[in-house]
Amino acid sequence: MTEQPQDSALLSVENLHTRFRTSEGPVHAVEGVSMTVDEGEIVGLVGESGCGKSVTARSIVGLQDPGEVVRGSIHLDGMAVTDATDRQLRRLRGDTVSMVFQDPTETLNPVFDVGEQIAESLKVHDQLDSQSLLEYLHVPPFSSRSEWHEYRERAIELMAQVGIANPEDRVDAYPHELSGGQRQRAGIAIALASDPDLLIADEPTTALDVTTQAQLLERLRRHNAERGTAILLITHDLGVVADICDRVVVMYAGEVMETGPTERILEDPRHPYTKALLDCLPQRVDRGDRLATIEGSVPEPTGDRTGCPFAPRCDQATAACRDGEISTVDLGDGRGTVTCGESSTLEAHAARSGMAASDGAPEPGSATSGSAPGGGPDRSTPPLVELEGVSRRYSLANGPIERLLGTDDTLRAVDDVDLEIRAGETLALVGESGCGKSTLASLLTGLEAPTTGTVRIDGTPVGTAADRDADTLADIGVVFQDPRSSLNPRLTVEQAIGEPLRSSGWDRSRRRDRVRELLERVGLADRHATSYPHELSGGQVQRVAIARAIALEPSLVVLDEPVSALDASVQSRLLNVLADLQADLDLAYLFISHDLTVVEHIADRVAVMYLGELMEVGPADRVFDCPTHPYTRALLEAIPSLDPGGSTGTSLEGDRPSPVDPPSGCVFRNRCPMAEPKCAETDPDQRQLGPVRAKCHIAPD
Amino acid sequence: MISALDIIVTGLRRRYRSIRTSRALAAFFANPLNVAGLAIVATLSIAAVLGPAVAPFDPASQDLANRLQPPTLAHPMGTDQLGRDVFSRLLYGARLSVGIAVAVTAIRLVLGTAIGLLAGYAGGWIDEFLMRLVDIQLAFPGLVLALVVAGILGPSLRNVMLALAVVGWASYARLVRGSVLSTKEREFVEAARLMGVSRVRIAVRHLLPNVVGPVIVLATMNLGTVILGTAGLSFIGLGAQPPTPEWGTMLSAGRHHLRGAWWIANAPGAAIMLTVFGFNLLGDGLRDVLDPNHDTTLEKPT
Repeated sequence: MTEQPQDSALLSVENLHTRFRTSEGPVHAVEGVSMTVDEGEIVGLVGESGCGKSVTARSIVGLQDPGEVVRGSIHLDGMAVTDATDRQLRRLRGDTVSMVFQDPTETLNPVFDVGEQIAESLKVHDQLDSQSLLEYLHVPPFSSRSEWHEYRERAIELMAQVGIANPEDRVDAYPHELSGGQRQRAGIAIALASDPDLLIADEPTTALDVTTQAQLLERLRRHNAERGTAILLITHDLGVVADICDRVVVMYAGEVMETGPTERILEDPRHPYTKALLDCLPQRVDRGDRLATIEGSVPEPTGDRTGCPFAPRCDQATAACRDGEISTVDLGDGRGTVTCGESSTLEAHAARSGMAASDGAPEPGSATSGSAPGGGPDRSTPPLVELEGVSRRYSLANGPIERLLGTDDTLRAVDDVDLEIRAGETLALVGESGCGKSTLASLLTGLEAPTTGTVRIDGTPVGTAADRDADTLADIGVVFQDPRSSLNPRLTVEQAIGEPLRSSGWDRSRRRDRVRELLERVGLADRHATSYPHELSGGQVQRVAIARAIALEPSLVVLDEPVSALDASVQSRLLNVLADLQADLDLAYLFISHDLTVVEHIADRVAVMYLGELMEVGPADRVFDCPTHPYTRALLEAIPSLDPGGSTGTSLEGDRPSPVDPPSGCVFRNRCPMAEPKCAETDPDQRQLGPVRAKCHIAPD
Repeated sequence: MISALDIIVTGLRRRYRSIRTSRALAAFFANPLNVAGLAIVATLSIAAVLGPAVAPFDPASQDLANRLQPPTLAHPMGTDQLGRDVFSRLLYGARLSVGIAVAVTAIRLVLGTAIGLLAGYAGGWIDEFLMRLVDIQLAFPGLVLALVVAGILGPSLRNVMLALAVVGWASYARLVRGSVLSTKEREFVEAARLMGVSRVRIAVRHLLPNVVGPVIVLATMNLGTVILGTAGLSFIGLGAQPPTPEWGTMLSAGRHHLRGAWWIANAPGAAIMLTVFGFNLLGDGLRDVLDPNHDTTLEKPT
């Protein structure tokens, strides 16, 4: 775990330039990256999206096509990758380096079972030069599955190693039969099959739940410790970096900004960009305070650049930063390097200066609204929205025969949920993916009809969206997770925002004024009104979606994972916009998220969902500081901590049971560390424990 | 008034900007086959519009003294068995063929898109009923069905048009329904529902523009097949009647003189072939740039 001398570097990248040729001129994705990975080391490569992290990784394994390496050298285990022949590269990719990709659904071939794919990787590694097509086709006279038996046996071992439960059964499963986490594990098993010296993992946990992420990171760490496999971990999540990396390389716009041991980077970041990135994280800011932001966006990697690429967004930038050549300074003592022209950054700071002074004033509105509902539910005003015993079941029967025989299964997406949202408060709904968060939101907005139970808005029971009148519809605004797919690509921003206004009968000029006003509220310029969604960045598109949601002055906005597809710096800006809007317009938010750090920052109250049931509901500070339900505790422990010394606690073992066949009694009992025999027998009732309502037998009073 | 003009001007400017910077356009012109297709179709359209103005002779005037003349300067494509100028007849025929093709395709497109949109968006028994209609229609060989219709209605160009129009909308309906089914699950449609946008407006404003790309591709390809179908029906005598200068009719008349006067049949034959080829190339090119699932690459094909 300690720094090793540079000459033993397993991977060394020197002044790498990779570019793509396009019709608008060359795009310089990577501009002069130098870095090393030593044997047995875990190095994190961090930066916002579009910073050239993935292109760097792909260049290392020779997969940069259609881009080209125009300058620089890459040495892997002493071999120059850029000059290697195809045959050499093939050997290198198996023996020395393997890669894990971000999206496990795309990486696995859907027509082969996972055992086959892992076995193939094993076989290729054993017999690199005899890969005849017929052997892989399993055509009887030339080859048979039984010859693969040995490989499949080893595949089972590997699957057990990466933590897939029941590998003997799972080896025959096809990718679509596995959960996202299991698929990513299978992807890692394939990468580890050849026992590489270096594993490159490109955002391996980004698409996964926090509990699954914690399990996977633990596996990677263990593999590193047992086998000495070096890992190059590409991520935008500094929490993940703090959790397992020995050293960090911070990239921005294709260049390395800062390198150094994780501890030093997190506690004493020198480069303004690193500081800004860290300041954007919600867990660094007190609840209710404004988040620091980075103004502007990552520069377009086209054309020629001089000086520091971060200079336009840097508040310490000088004229020299913009024009001059920026030198890389070694901090000495193995504390890494900084590429910055501003000398003040090179001096050690005793403590990090207060949260970006420019933006640091606490927001009075959100601070007060944070304390009022948190202190205890205010019973005097009727709740804005009330869910009473709401359930949603989906029948899985395939045909009339099954239905007749009564053998059809039902999937319990939402089960007997009681929940209320009061005016002006932020209620966060958290839980792993597939726990029914989005279905609950659809029940509330009226996209789905509850199987049983009632939804009340302002005290009146309402049906689905088709049955609601215009006023009720206008009362709830919705922001969807993927801003790109929630806006019609054929409408301009003005038309998209004007759509709800139009359907409630506003005329053209009134609409136009209102759209201008809304754009200003969400922080977009007037000129964006005539843009199409594809001309805007992810953060801008999400702002448009928010503007559309508040166009009719709703009292509640349902935000379904509004920031999870965005970079940290964009995310913090959007969270600030949401806080401003809430303070100005007295909005209530139903904030759905799997990212607990964001929730902790923004929520007044938190509802924790598991397998369609509410496990715990209570004020945010109480739930986060002193969780009542074991599941909430497990979720909180799975958050990667930014404290480099502290390791994450025990992560939740096992997989989520299927909502078609939930466990008897308490649905959480088979993963619960505190489960008692009683938990299997009776389904616990919701109990009011002080300000918190929890569904558990054993929760302490 | 001024504000209305403003809106039009900004709208036009926006369109121009989006066309000029469009990757799709660049991708389309990167492939020489697409350009060839566009050139053929453009030439044909110009011939159809300007044909009567530039044709050297009246297509129906007979000159029996000059019958069956091989191509000369006066008659670039020779004369037929009644001494009519083949080139002039070809130009007039282009107008007929393209006109019929556009009309038939337009009917098919409007009918098919409307039915597909209704079926896909309404769902339930409406969908079931309309799609069974489509199945029934697709179960008949199109040209044979058109032949029957044209045969019953009697031989004339108008009846050929009707016959071809009623047999061809099914593929549009099926295509549109498929795209609508996937598009209506997208979040922007859900968002529109939650904003209280009416069902008709969702269908026309939100669904239609997003499913129209593949329809345009199909229509372009279809123009070629319709020209082929019209010529075919005319060839067997169900379509245009002599002396109408229609390509199929010309082909039919010329086949008796194939040995002595090859140009009479070959000129319209080559015209038909080139036209269908042009429309297919154009359609292929449009598919490459309009298909949302197809990531347009600017690299030239190797």
